[in-house]
Amino acid sequence: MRSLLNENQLLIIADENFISTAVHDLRKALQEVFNQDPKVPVILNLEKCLIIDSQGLNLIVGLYKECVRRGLRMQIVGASEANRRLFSIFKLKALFNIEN
Amino acid sequence: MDQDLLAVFIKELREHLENLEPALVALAQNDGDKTIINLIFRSLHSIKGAAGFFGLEKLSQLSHKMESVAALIRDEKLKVDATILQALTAGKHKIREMVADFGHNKESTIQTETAALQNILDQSVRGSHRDTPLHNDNIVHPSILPPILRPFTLDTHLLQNALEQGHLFFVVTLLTHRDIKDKGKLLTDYFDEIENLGTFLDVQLDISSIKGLEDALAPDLCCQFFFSTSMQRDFVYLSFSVPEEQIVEIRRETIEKLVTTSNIQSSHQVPIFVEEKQLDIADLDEPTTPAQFAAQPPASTASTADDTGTLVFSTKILNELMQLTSEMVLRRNQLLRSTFAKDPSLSGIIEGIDQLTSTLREKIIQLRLQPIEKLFENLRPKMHALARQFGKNVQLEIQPNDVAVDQNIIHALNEPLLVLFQNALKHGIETSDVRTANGKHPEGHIRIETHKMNGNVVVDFVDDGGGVDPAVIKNLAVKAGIIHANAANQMIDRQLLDLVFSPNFPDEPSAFPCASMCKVRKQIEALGGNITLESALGIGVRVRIRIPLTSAIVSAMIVEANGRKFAIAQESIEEVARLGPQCKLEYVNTRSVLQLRDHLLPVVDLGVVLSNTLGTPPDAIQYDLTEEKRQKIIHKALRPNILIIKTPKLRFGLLVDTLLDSEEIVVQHLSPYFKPAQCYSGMALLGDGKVAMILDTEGIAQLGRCPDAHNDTPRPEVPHVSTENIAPPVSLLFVNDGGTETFAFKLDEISRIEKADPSRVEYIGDTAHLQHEHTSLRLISMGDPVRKLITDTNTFYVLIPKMADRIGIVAKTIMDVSETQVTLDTTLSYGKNILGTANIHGKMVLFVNVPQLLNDLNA
Repeated sequence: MRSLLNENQLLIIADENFISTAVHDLRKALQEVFNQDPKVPVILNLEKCLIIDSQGLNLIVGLYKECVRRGLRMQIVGASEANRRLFSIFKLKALFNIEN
Repeated sequence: MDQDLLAVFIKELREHLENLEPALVALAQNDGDKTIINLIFRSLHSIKGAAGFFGLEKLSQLSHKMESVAALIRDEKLKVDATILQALTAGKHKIREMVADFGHNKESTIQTETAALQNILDQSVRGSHRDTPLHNDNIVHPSILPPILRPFTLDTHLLQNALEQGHLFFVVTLLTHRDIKDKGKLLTDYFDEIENLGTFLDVQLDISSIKGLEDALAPDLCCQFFFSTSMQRDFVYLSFSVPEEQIVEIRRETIEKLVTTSNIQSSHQVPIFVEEKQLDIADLDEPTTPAQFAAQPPASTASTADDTGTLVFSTKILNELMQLTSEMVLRRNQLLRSTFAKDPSLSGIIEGIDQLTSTLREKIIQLRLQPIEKLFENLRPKMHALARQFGKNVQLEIQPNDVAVDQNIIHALNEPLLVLFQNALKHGIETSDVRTANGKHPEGHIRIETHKMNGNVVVDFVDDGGGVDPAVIKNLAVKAGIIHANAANQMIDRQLLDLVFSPNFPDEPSAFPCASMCKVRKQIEALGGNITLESALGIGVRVRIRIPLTSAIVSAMIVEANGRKFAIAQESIEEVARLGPQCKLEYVNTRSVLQLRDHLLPVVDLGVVLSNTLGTPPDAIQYDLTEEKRQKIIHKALRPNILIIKTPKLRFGLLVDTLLDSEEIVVQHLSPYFKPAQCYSGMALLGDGKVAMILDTEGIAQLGRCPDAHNDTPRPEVPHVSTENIAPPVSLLFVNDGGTETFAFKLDEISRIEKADPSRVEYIGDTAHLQHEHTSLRLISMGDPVRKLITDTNTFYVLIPKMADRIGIVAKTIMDVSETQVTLDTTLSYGKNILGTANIHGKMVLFVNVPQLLNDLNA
């Protein structure tokens, strides 16, 4: 996972699947990013994330809640068709500001 | 925010909501009742006050608007009508949503609800609010709503289409970890499957339990989805991998009424209210529905007591207690084994800790255990309904045998047993006509029996249907590309039958519906268990499910073999024996057996069977004692310890090097690495810190090739015949053929006995012929080849049977002739040429089946 923080946005690029074997490392990396106390909108790029399992979903929701807690807007971009459908099923598209 | 105060606030909010719901319904029916409107006003006022105190602005705003409307009604400035009731009810739903999702409070949108309420207030001020009839066609009247409501946003087009297609409607509650991930499925795959089964109408995901990154991973998110399907209720239960309690059927009439009542435009989104089935709080580890989540006490007060003194609490706490108890047992065991425990001044204290720990763990286990009968109480009516549905006449016999299991197992077995039952009805049990034509009872028989074994719960599902033909399975598997024909040809029947659990096995009418069987196996394996299928064509099928008692603590005997420690569940051990007059090691029909008092038992040397590896070629597998060890035992140079093991199938003696101790062990799941090894059922950490494998006694019996333990053609419904009387008294001839065994013949089957000289024997190929009175007698023997038997002897005897006077059965010594009443033990098989065994004058004797011996020769 990579992150780019500038004065306009915090871009988080996921290079792996959001699945149970990876979520602990991903969470740690995300927590480190938030330790920088960003004050800008957060954009999660899921272009390279093909699979999201239930724990991966938990982590994304956790990221969203973290943003809400800090008063930050969160947006997901680059989600695959399958993942967009997953967010759509759970009615999370609006919450994550996923554009059609 | 003070979490304790917040918890109290949430609890109070729920109480106010509980008051509001019936009060609004009552208001619709009797708008002039001051008591009702006062109750509504007070509840809303309290909600508003508390919300303001906690800075929950939106909740405060909404409740304030509702309170204002209620005040106008109370002061008779506003007359209750459908619009007002709808606005108040919508406001109440929104409050409930906000309570269920405190983390989202700031993001909650209350615009619609407050606008409707404000409109009423504005019209009231302007005096323009006019009464509208209570029975408005465009709304759902509160009085027709069930007591517990859950809003879904639904497209009425979809509802109408589903109705026209004859669909049934279901609300399914899922925990995303437990019900999807833990069963090896991805969320997308799971919902794809649902879409294949019906129409996906709406989903609600409760994310309120996640507050941020820190606690993101642990919560098992609860989601509810509403869908319609053409499948019947029973099949819906079978199709979803969730306990039945998590599926609620919504009556078609409710949906029809809703669509009719709403009378809306095709694109209109309407709120729909469905009746929830209240779940037993003890049934699930986590709250299962958003409504339940809201209805449950906050975490800080996880238990509640009712007026009867019964305490209801979350199973999560129970699981934690169980885990802690397991840890305590381990520490206790370590303490007992430490040198510290040898200190005499501490022995009393340590004994006390020992006893207290044992008592504590028993009590905790009792809390979790439930009689498995509970499972069958639930299954019986469904099974009878399925039998009616399939038009099969079946007698269902259930033998729970007082087995008590962890409640999770009760839930987990529900669906697999229904699938097996359905399969038996669909493919196994024949129609009454066919059964009668096949000489069977017209009524089919299905037996489900449970028992405990080696720390496992074993469920045997046995039907007396037509069975499964391994040849058919083989052909289907080859055709489907599951296995290559050459490999299939090498398989024994049991391996072929196992192919029905393959994921891609075709669902042919002549075989098992294997898609379901694959699913059943996955469900059982998810619990760390296994499932096997045995079949006898024309007789029936036996499916055996074994599920480990996860985290259970069992008493076990710790033994040593080949320098390694193993645990054997005490419940499998019938007795511990030492060799002596009552317990002798014999050698019968090419293998060692144990003569324990009046019974012959197969004997297995643990060290020998465990020395075989998975890669050992079949002809090199060792299963009997080595000759060296046997001689040492006979000559008393070695006195092994023998455990008499009892399994549902048989008893056998297990030779171990050392008996170490008896210990309470915590059963842990077996690592998948060990799954192929049939000799282990679990593992445990011992008090000395070492890991011991828990032996699967049935698997050990199979590896040791115990008679009846490795039979590839099971006899599901053939009862074990333990004894058979030979008509008393009977004249018997006792002979010996040079080995240690004594053979008995019924004298009336022998025409004469001749003494013979080995020099008169001629060999043609492998067959031996005795020249006798100008004729030639074909010589046969019970065990070793004739040539070997008579090599080192000057004379031998030939028994000529009445049935064939050109055949001679070779015996080396005539031992005795006597008239004796015997009880033949046929429990164990020593080959088809042996009828059985009997103890005669303290000696085990093998009774020869002469007709079979001659038949074999002819064949």
